[in-house]
Amino acid sequence: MKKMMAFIKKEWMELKRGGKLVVSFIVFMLFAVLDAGIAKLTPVLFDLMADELADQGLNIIQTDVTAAQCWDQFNGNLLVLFIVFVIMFAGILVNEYQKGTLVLIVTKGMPRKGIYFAKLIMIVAVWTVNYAMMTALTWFYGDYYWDNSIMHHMFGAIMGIWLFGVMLCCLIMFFSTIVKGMSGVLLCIGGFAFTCSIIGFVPGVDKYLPTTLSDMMTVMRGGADISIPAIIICIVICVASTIGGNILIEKKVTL
Amino acid sequence: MLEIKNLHKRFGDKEVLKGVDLIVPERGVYGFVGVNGAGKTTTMKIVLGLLKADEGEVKVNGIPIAYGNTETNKMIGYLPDVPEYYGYMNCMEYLKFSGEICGMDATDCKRRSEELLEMVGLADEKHKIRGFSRGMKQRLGIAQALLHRPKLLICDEPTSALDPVGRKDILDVITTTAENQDTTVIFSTHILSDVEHICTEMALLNNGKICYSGSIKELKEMHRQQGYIIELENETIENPNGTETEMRQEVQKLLEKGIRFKKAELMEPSLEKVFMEVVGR
Ligand SMILES: Nc1ncnc2c1ncn2[C@@H]1O[C@H](COP(=O)(O)OP(=O)(O)OP(=O)(O)O)[C@@H](O)[C@H]1O
Ligand SMILES: [Mg+2]
Repeated sequence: MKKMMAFIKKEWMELKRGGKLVVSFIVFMLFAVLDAGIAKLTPVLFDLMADELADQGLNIIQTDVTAAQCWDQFNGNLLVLFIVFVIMFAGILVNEYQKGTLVLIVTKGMPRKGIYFAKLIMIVAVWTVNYAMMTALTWFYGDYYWDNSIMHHMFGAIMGIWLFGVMLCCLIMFFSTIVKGMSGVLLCIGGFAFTCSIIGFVPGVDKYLPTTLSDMMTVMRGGADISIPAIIICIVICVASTIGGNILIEKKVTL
Repeated sequence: MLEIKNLHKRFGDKEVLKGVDLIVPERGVYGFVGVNGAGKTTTMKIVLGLLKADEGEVKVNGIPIAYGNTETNKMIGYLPDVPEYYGYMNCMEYLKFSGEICGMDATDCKRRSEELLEMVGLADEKHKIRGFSRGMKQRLGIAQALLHRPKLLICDEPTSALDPVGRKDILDVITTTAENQDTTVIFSTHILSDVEHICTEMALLNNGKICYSGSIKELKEMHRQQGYIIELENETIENPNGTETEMRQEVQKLLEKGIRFKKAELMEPSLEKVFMEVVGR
């Protein structure tokens, strides 16, 4: 436990000195500002372009912007956010064995499981804190400019997205024990998302897919309930990949 | 200190170790010599539990090692051929982190780190490891390997990548370590002059087996070539089968006749020659 704490401290230093902590924070905050900003600016943009569009025979019906537009943006931008996040942290474990920095640490008695959990805890923490700040900021804008109370299932929806992010963290770690490099991890995560979307073509199967948790637009607009099976499957994937990853890292030959 | 019995290891269809037997006695610097690809690193990694042996038994201080197990590693300090650190830390930070992983007490770790950095000549180095030269990395490697006061220090080619000055420095540090720190040092290399300088005993790994182990003196003795050379002013007398007594008689004769000569030399086998002979090249 002490060793794991020491390793977590080292990870913290790595994120801080490598600049990832600041960069990821800025990115998340940027997304929050963007979500509200775009929602806020939409009518202004339409106004600006109204004349031009009218010339072309298009008549703009002025729609009222509500908190819903803001949260639409929030959901719509999540995909990009997840991609940025995965790219940023895909190398967290593989970079270490590519460089060979773990050899000295492991021969000094650092358990491999400790390394695995320290890193997993670290990325989950980064995700959680950044996501919480981003959501809080979006929430603040939503209330400040409009009214969040028109939204539905907000708490569940926000937690669902969080859970999906946690699953991504677990998958990054799991795939890191299988492949050799960062591109391998990215490919595996991409493959996972692709497989989910292929399976998604089967009608009715949507509610079982963890990827449904990555976009809560319909849920927030009150068009659907949060899919409990998807949550359960997502948790199962988290647990299974973590157990699997721990078995695999013990077996890994080249550190 | 270290006992290896009948160690086998293959990578795919390539058998690298074909039954290595080795006993490293306590104290002193033990040379572990072999050509590139002989399997020195492989053997060391097995001892450290970083690789799994196919067959065989390894004991450190009487305790059998197991793959992935770190119990015996508490007694071992390891300096890999190319040590890799976290570039964003400085020496002190890295040693502090290493100490925490070893389970050392913080104040003890700090004192020990300062002492070791002093010894390897990095005490005033405040920069990040990122900018270190190879020699500096090797020095830090020795410091981190000795941090937890190991009984056995395993150095994998610590001098191969260094210039003559850096090499001498590292060899000096290793010799001091063996003398003052109550540590047995195993030292792999293919640079034979290093072995001749600092090792008392050595083992020669060739073709997956230890083909010689023992004192360097005895090895040379075993391969002592006969013969002597006497260089005169403008002539050399060479007797490839002559013995020492014959050379003395010859010299005596020359002296009696009043013939001047530049030097008389018994042919001493260099470790290099012995090495070539044993390896069969
Ligand atoms: N992970 C591996 N997979 C396949 N072959 C390997 C692996 N590691 C080592 N080998 C092979 O085992 C042999 C011995 O390698 P090893 O690194 O032990 O040699 P060495 O004596 O340390 O050589 P050097 O003096 O170059 O460091 C080499 O021929 C190498 O190709
Ligand atoms: Mg080697």
